[in-house]
Amino acid sequence: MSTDVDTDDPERTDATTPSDGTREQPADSVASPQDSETEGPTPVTIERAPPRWSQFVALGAGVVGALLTTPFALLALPFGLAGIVVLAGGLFLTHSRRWISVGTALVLVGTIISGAYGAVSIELALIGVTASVLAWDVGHHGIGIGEQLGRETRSKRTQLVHTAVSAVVLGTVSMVAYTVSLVAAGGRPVSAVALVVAGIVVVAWLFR
Amino acid sequence: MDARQAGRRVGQAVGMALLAGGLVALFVPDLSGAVPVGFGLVQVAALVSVLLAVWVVRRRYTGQYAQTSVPDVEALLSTPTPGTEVDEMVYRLTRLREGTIEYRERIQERMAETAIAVIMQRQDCSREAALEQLEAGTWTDDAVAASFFGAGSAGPGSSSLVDQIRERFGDRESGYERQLRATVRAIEAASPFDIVEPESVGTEPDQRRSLDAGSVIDAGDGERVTETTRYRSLLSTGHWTGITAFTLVSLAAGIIASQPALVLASALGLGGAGYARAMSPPPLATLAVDRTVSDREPEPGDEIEVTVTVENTGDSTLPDIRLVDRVPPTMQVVDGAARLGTALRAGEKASFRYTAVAERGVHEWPLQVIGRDVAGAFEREALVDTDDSVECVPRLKTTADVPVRLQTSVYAGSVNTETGGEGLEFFSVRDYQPGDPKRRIDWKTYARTGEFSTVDFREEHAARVVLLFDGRESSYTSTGPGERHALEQSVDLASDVFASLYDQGHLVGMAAFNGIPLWLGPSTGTLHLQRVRNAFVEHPAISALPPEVAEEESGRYVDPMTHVRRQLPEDTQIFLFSPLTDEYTYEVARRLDGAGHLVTVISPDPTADRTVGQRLARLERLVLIKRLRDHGIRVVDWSDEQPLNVELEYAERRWNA
Repeated sequence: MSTDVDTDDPERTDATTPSDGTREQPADSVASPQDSETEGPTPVTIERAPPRWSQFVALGAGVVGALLTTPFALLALPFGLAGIVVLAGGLFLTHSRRWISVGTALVLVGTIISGAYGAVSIELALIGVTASVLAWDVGHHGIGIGEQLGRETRSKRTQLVHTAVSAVVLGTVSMVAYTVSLVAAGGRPVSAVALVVAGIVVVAWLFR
Repeated sequence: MDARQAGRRVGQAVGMALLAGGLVALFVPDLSGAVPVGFGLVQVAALVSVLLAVWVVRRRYTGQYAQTSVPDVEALLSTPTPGTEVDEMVYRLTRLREGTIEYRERIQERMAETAIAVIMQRQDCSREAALEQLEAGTWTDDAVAASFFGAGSAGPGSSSLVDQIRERFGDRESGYERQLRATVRAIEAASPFDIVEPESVGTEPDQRRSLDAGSVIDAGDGERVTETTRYRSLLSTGHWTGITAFTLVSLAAGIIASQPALVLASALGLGGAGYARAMSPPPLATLAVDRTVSDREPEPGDEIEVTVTVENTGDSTLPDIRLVDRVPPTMQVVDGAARLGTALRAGEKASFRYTAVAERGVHEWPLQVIGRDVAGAFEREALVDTDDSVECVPRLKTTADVPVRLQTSVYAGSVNTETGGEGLEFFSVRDYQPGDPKRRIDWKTYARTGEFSTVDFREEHAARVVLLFDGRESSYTSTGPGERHALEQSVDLASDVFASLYDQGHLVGMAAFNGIPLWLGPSTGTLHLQRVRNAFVEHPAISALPPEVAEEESGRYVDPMTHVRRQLPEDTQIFLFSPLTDEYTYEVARRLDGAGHLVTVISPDPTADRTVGQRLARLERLVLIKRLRDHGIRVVDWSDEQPLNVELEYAERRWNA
């Protein structure tokens, strides 16, 4: 027998079955699932949604990322706002990785636009991008936890470890970048920049 | 592959060298004169970088995020409700527009069969007469239902254009669905059964929590790395894939707009990607698992508390492990969750606890461990076996008083037979025959008449009973998702019946018709009891898991009843356990009845009334029960609201009336 008729929405038929409050239960009819559940112990169900902690941390990081970088250019602001909305939708409503990615990407595009106009200082850009990337990372991690373990399962420890280590790594990278900017603050020889750029492109491509 | 990897290495080395050279040149400006590059080249690099970014984004967009799937281990295995196949046909017919003619014919045929049976039963007429009524449409007052079987069927073609458009866009049920529903309702109304009309009936097929491959784990699955641990899969999750797109775009924008902030920020993307690349898969073999169960030999229905403790016995930290206890699909978790997500430093322990309802069988189940590195770049799945097992044996004790019928063996027992002989209760007086025992001679009659006569007492014999299970796939049906299926209920009832009959001193055996034969002849004694108990616990013919899920291969097809018929002794009563959802069991009962066995069918009711298909299936079942009863076969129609002994009392009153 085929089971592929409809697999996308497990809630749907529940909505069409009458709830036990409105239904007269004749003595000789078959027990509906709702009725038998009230008698015995209720079975445990797993809610496959991201844990609340990860939702709020990711959204918070996304908001910080957008606030620090996008309000300084008129063209960047809509990207920041839209990014936050999409990110929040992905985290809280659709529980979808794609929405989180698109939301973060919008915020980062806002950052780049704002940066291209020279509206963002180096410090703000580094902190803002760190926060945005962290939002992306934590959001994805939370969705993975939600799919495999469920929202109510204890998983705080691993979320904390993952978030903390990611934050430390990204923070360290920012610090290094900032140090470079301090040292090379003066004259920037074109050839040196070119070497750095070429190096980043090659490594980034290989790391994709 | 090797060449590609080597190329990658070289590329990385070149990239790193460029990066390092550039940084040095930044710090020591005097050196930069030695490198012959101009600004134009930088802009070309920026352009290339944007193109590469597009490529990376595309890759992220089309690629799947890979992660191990985890089924609902807490829930009971779901089995379909009878009639689901009809609902699926209707769904395909009306929504997907597939197999129109074939499905429509099959549905029509099933409806017609049921309608004819109902008309025959109500009016006590021949099949031809019923068919005539059906075709003429005089069997019901409902015009829509009458036209369903009529020659000029008022199908969906007759509905208006507006209706057709609205059907097409799915905001209303199609004319065909309406007609089906009206017809089922009309057949119900025409039937002699008192059926209560449910308030709303859909035609949507029930959702089935599918029995996907993930819900059952084979014993030989995975690669064994230690005595208890098996590595099942190793995935590269792609968690950080796509982050370099930001690097490339930001870099390009930074160069073109000459903004150092963007060039520097691009390092973050590179950092994230490098962080992911620096990871290696976590070692899970060092995880020591201990599972304690509060009761290793529970009875079915008992709640057992399970505590799982894991310890990281290795030297390295496991930053992200997700533990899922693969509770057997027949057991339901009622408290706590059989999962935990945690991080374990070397030597650290973590545990979780849950409560499950025990179900018959010998259960051993693995712990699924999903380990990720700290960045989440790799995901390894392992299965850890524990050496403990839970053996859940039905208690074979009962309060039910199951009546046996007058068909007995030669052995002494508790059934009052209709024959005279040795016994306690007076039965009859007859003429003396040579050889009659002296103490049964009626001396008073002799004194009066001078002739010998013999007093007969009622003989009490033990009955010989076989509990026969319908173990075919149609028994793995239930009233709804997550409900216990009919075979499981049958086994419950049977263990009650067995205990009751055995306590009464009868010879009780067990059999099942299924691809896998089960035969335990009616007998008695400790050894027999032990065999029966084992069969209840884990015989594959009455397995708690449907055949599609169970590991046992069912062999080539043989008529499931062959082995039973061959071995069944004469004068054996049959208790047949079946949901009665198809003709096969009906035939079995009738043939056994014809062969001189007294058959009592005990039928747990798996039907529901949520959809048209389910209502049709319920009607079909009621028709079958009615037909069996007309043949003089006893049927107990059991729904799990009543305990068996109450239901039996009703039934007995009916049988004795």
